[in-house]
Amino acid sequence: MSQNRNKLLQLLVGNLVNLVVHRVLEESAKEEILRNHYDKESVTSFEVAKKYREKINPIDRELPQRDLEQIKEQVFKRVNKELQMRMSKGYGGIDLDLVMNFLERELKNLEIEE
Amino acid sequence: MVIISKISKGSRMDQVYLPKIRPPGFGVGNFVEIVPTQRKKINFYTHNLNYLEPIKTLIKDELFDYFEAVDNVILTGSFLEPGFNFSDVDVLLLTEGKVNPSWKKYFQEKMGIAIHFTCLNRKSLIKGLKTDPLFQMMLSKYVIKKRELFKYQNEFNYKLLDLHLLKSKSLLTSFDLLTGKEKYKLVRNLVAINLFLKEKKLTKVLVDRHIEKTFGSGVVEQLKENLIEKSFLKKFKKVYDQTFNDIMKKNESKSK
Repeated sequence: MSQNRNKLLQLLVGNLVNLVVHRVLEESAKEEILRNHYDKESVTSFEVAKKYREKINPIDRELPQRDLEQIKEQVFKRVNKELQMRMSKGYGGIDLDLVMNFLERELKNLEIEE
Repeated sequence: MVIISKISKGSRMDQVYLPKIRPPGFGVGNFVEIVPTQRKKINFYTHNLNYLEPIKTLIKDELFDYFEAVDNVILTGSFLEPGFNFSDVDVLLLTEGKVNPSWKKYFQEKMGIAIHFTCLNRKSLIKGLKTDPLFQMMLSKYVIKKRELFKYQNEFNYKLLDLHLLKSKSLLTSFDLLTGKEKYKLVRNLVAINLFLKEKKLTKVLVDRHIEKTFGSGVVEQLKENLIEKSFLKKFKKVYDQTFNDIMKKNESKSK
């Protein structure tokens, strides 16, 4: 059971990474068509992350502090890595300061954090 | 008593003309019921499509008839593949207007099928064809109401390609939870981007062929049937990373 829970937590982290990366990239995009694409992808990632969240106990309230800290740390690290890799290759307009804001917002939206 | 007449086009409203001398019951001020008797012939054109099943032709006619006033209507996607293995019908409406939610409801109730509508103007359509490998692949085969040619040259937008590529990353993070169809689509996405970077013409057949060439024969079916082994991910990641680097390299060389 706990093995399943760990796996689900990992899957949740993976989708949260995807979600936050899209949110930050959406902010970096000036073209409307691109912003719409990012937004659409973010919604999809959110829906998938929500599905995982609904399978992780406790489902009716926020996750324990230990899980929350672990999720935050992992997502933050992986999102920054993804974005820095892009920045190092000349991807313009990325604001790393947005990562934590978006992460906090999505954690609340997914009822992972109070 | 029945009168058969033709609907003709008006400026603000369309109308049915009745002869001055007509049977009783059709006097001015009376309410009458209008019922369709015979469908007019609906013209259409196809691109890279040889055959459409009769039942699909009925759906096509319904759609073209319903959107008669729209500038042009394009049917595309899995609906045009042989057989009935499609989940919805992709309809592109060339118009400046927006999608009306009632359309979906209307066709769901009338024909029991899900239709995915997209409204876009010609400029956006050409832009999509120029920059988006998936859009190019989608429009490699279509049925269109009025004959129209879309001329374009590939245009490189690294942010858009990176965005599309990022989608395929979920195969690495959620492999165990994805269905076969989802896995296939994510691999197809990666390979389509790869081919776009090599300035190849994109069609579903070509992309499938390239999937087999890259990942081994029989992989397309294995993916669709969800029978692919996890060891597949090693090669997938290699191709993914290579494609990501190619996108970024193209951007670097463009900005030099």
